[in-house]
Amino acid sequence: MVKTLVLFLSLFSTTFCWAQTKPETDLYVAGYRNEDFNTAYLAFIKKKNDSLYFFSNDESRYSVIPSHSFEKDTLDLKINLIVTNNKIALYNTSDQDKQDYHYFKVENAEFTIDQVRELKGKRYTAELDKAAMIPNRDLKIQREIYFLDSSNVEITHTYSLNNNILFTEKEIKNITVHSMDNKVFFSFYDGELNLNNRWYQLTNLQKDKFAFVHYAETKKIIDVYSLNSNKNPEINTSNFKMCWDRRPKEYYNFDPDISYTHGNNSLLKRLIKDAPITKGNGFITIHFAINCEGKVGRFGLEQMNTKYQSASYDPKLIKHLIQEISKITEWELPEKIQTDTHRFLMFKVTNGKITEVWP
Amino acid sequence: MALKKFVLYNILIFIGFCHSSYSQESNPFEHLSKEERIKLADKYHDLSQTVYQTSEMHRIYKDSALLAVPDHVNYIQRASYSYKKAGEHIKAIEVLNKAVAIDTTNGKTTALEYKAWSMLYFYRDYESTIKDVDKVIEISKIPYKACHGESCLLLKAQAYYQLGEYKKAIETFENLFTILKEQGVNPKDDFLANFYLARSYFKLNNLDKSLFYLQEQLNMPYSVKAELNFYAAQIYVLKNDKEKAKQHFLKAKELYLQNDKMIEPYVERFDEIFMNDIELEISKL
Repeated sequence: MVKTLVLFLSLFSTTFCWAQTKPETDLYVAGYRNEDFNTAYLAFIKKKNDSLYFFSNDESRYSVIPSHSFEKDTLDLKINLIVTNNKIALYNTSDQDKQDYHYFKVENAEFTIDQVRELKGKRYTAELDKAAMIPNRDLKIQREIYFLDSSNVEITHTYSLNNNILFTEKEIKNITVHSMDNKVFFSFYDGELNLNNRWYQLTNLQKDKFAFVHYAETKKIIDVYSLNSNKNPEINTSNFKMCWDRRPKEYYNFDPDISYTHGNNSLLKRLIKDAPITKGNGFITIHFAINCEGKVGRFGLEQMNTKYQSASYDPKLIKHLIQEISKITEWELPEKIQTDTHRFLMFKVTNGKITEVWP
Repeated sequence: MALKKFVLYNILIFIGFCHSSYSQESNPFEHLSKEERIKLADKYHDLSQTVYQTSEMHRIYKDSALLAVPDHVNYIQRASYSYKKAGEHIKAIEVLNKAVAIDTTNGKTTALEYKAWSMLYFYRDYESTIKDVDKVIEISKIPYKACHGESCLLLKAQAYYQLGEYKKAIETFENLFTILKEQGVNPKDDFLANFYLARSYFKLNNLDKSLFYLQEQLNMPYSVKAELNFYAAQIYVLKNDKEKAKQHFLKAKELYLQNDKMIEPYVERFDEIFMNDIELEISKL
């Protein structure tokens, strides 16, 4: 009995060690550059015979370096490469600039381009925690991808609260599908495909669902899309797209802050006109992005009571606020702004009525 | 027998491994000395300053600093900034309250001072501002305390002003001015206190006193002139002196365009004016 147990333990250890050391793949996909901004980046690395081969999106190899971690100081550039089994990070630091690039080992899921063609003409929906890195606690956010043809998709974001659809946003994007080592990657983009786009790896493809893996803010994100037999209902649909696939800057990173041109008192009058009444006292924070063209979209929501704990207010009021905020174009934007911005408006609820707005 | 011992040894190693994995997960820095953990916390804090404040990376570095020294009040307080500035208020207040609890238990008020300041400007929670300022003064036993760069009494008086308790606001401003005089400071140098004192008198319909403080500030070198002219003009409108009202509104407009107006990063000040407000008042004349 004891002999059997020893044998079992030894076999278990051997299998465990083998599983830990056997390389599953040597392909790494770019997750992002500038880790704190999560800037989309389109590239691959192949690890082979102690070397790392860097590939751009068109598979042209542009650099080869040893595959072990190292630090190298040249006259004007410090390079730091960190290689682990699951991630490769490259830091380039000079007096003028600091860039970091983060690649992640691809998932072991193989598909053919022919299999992907099955998606054409179908609509799929995934639930997201937040959209475009805009903070969200309470809204249910769904992203629908409608594969129009081999090169275009229609993407719709739907924002709901307690099963009430509050708002929808729609945009058309180009799509490219890329196969490398039998792994399939999607990228959604405007204009021309370039390095500032992101790869989404297809990790599951079934009759009624598929999954994408991408990387954001140090984390692996898995979005599972389910087939929609019908088109999602649309409420007050706006056409909105972010200018960049990266963390938007905060409103206070500009001088002056990006705020409503006519001040909070005017904003309050505008937003509470015909606003439904709710119950209770507390705070409602509506988060949103202002894109580089000054348009509003990508909403988030946090509802609190007066003790700063989670609360809920009438979805009709939230719907009113989101819809009214989406119409605002009078933002104090810097001339020639090229970035997207994260802004939020906080509302005080006093006996069910909105009484103040700030910051 | 030897085999039995071997099996037992293997099982013990396995249990030990699991336990150590669990401990490392709960606090990977547990094995370090206090000094080493302080150094590590400082290092993580410094690293957090090199990345964007509302990013996940910043939060990871901040959390790591607090894994090394969990009761570091300053680092806990500063960890809350990332959430507050991003408008993630439930988490921001949860973290800040932790800093306040540890700090006040130790008889200190730094975190509470910051909370009082935040409650006024970032949460417009006027009752909490008053409560926090009173507690700061009670714990510190110092009547004139600064709350994150502004006099705590100025915050308290503004909170009363926003609550519509104008007499209490005036009393608090007077109290602040008495303390400033005792310290050899000219109360007129405090623009914000004098401005909101004038506004409090205005709300109580004491137009002459309101105008007095506005005019006094108009003569001070470091006051903000667009708002002073605007609110002085409003008083002249009520006094039926349209000529003077117009002069002050036009001056307010001129100064506004020169940026001689209230400008505060992150938040809008109470009674801050905008071009639309000025244009509307001029059109009514």
